[in-house]
Amino acid sequence: MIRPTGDLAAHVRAAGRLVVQPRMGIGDPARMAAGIRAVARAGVDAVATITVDSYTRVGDAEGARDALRRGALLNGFPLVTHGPAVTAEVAAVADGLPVQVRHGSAAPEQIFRTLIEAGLSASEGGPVSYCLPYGRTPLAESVAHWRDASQQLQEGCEAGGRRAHLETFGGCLLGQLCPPSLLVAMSVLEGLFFVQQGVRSISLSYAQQTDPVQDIEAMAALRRLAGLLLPPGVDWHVVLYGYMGVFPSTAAGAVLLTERSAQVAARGGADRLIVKTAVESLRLPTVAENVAALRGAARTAAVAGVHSRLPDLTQVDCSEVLAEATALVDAVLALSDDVGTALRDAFAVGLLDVPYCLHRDNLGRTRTLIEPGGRLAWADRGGMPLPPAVHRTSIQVASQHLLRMLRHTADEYDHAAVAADRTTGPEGSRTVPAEQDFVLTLTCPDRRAIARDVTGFLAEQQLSIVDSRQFADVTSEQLFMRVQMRGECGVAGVEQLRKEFEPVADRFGMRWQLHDLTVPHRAIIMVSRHGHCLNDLLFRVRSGALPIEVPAVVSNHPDLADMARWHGVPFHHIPVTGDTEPSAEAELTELIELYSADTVVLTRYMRILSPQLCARLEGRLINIRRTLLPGIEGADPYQRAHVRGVKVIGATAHYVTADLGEGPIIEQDFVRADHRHTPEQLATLDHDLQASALARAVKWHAERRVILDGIRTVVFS
Amino acid sequence: MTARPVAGHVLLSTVSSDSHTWNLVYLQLLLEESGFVVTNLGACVPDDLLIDTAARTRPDVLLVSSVNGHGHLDGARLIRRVRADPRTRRLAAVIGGKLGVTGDDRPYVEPLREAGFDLVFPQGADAGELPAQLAALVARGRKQNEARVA
Repeated sequence: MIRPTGDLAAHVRAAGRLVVQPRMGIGDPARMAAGIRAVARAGVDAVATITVDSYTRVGDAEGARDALRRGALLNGFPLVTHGPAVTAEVAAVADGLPVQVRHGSAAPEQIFRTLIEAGLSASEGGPVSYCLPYGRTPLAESVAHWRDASQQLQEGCEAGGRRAHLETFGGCLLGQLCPPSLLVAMSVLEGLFFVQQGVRSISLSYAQQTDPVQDIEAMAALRRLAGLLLPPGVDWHVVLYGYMGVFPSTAAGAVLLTERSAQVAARGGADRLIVKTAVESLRLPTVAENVAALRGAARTAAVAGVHSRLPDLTQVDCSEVLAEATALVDAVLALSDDVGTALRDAFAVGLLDVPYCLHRDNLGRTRTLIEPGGRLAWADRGGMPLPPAVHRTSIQVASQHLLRMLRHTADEYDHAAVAADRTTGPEGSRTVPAEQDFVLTLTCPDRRAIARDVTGFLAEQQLSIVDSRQFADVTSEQLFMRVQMRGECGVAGVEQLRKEFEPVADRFGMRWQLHDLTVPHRAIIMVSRHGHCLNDLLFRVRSGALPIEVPAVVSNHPDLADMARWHGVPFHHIPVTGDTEPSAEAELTELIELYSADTVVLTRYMRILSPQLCARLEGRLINIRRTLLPGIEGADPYQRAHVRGVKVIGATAHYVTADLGEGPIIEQDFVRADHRHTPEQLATLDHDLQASALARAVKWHAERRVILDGIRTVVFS
Repeated sequence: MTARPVAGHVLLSTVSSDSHTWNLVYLQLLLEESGFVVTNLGACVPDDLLIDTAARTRPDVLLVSSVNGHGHLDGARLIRRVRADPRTRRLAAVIGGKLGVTGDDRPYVEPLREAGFDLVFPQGADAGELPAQLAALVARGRKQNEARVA
């Protein structure tokens, strides 16, 4: 028995505030389900998404099947190929949350049939918006396909006791450089088309453009026009797409732009926001990055009324965009009582004409311009029935001008990020060096010829030694060794190198590890309310002084979210109380896996992790603690230290182990104090000490300079 | 506006799997500004459509632009078919864009040339030099034609 997923429109209405939604599609059903589960558990009002892959988009189920058979990674979920049963299982993990299928197809019948059978009811697109921008299907054919498919969706859902929902893609079209009035008109026209096919629950899209105030005007006009034209009894809402054009190339610029999307959604009165992630321009985002982006968007939107200087939709003058959109819609609807026919004919005669769209059924006489203030305007209105322009004439757009306009938003946010001194994230511009650095660490009973055989092996492999350190412990008769070497060796080569080293290691009974230093060390940072160590670590990472990547900050309090966001790092708030401890720890474990974290660093994280988790993270979990003598702990430590007149304050960075309060020490530091230090001064000294000691410990750990030796460490600093 | 001599007729296209068009819009403008006449085939162009159009309209040069990362695969297949068809065997042909998914297109340059392209512009190549390079190809092609006729 297939359990239907939640009703999208009802869910949005019930939320009563901005609902966020990712653009998520993963080929493997288990991973797709994990993504949906993560969205359902994100702790925000969300709608889950299944985005189909490009084979399925163009109706090539065979291509998708072939790719699956070969184990190739698809860029979405092959819905038709997996079929309704598998899709239903995947969607079931949403646990009542609506799941929308996003696709991009000009002939969506098969996709709709599958989603109906899978118990789903929500999708998106449109006869124009999924035809003109993406391919060669003639518009008349797309209209016919969409007519059949929309009716079929409506009837199929009704038969299953569900309500079909369709969202227009008409508010996006080519993604950028389309003046808002045409987007608003297309969105409303496609909405009317859906209604004419019997769909009673729709959403109207609008894609963020170059100017936030202009966007809010457009959203106000969209709401007004929809209110006038959609018949009573149609349940409709407005959905904003976060910027769909060329994305900023710096991580910080991308973060700024995604924040701005959430602010425009909130101030423009959107009911739902399709969220982009900051890594969008570089690669497909991971599930965790998607979830972090959803949480960030929900948070930004929640405070937009206070933190953003943008006007809301009642404070803007939308008369110009409303007049243009109304003129377009009226002219189209006058062509035929059938909206599909009217759309087809409108493009044929140029009443509708999408700027820069190369499709044969689009006349292509219109052109767009970005005005000096950043607003989109018509450079050439073609033959569209727009009201007379007050002060604009048509101008030629040259190639270099077009290029600048396509990059306008990306450049604007990249520059803003630089101006705000937010430097490029670690993923900004990494190149793969021809030569790689490796580190070999080993421990074994001390014997003759170890160093000789190890270096001999490296020479055989044509690796040159960059740094070599060893320590023979006379009490335990153990040898500790760290060799850093350099050479040409691909990803496959590391595995090969490990294999080849095995005989040498076996000969001496070594415990050893071989690491590829070109693979960035990923450390999740956990924190409670004291941000001094967190801020120090993130600053060192950004300035390049600490060679790690921080994929996320996790906290049991929301207090330091802004600090993480300022550094452009996703922030996960996992509240912990007595009863939620196991589930919170499960969530943490999931994050560690999702982010493929090598290490977890506790920077004044005030909860105790379970012995099981500590055991799992042995040698990968680092903590910093205050070391005040004599044994001052508990509340008001600096006050008590001041009262006792302590002469030394210290900090200890150490590995956390399951059965020890304080595990193997990596680094300790101290400063002298005396009777003149106030409690506040003692606190400052101590915070600096903790931050610097922890930073050294994390650096040595990441560079594989720390070798565990029972309850102590050997550090080749 | 003064009329400029036609620098040549460019058939501008992408490969069959590529739905991107902003690159095509830009290249059309760039080439028109340099005096070329451009036929722009738009998104997702099937090999047959491209070859038939080329045979029918007899352009001076075929310019293929692809940015979806499949250019090294689809482009090689396409140009072999262009070279195998007697009607387009001698057509000057150029490809460029983002030809692979790794960000480093250099490994694809030689194979694409061997497959039959006259010029290959890997990712990061300067589009500003394109008009001059196409003009040189057009001139070379016309000279060869004259030689054949003579």
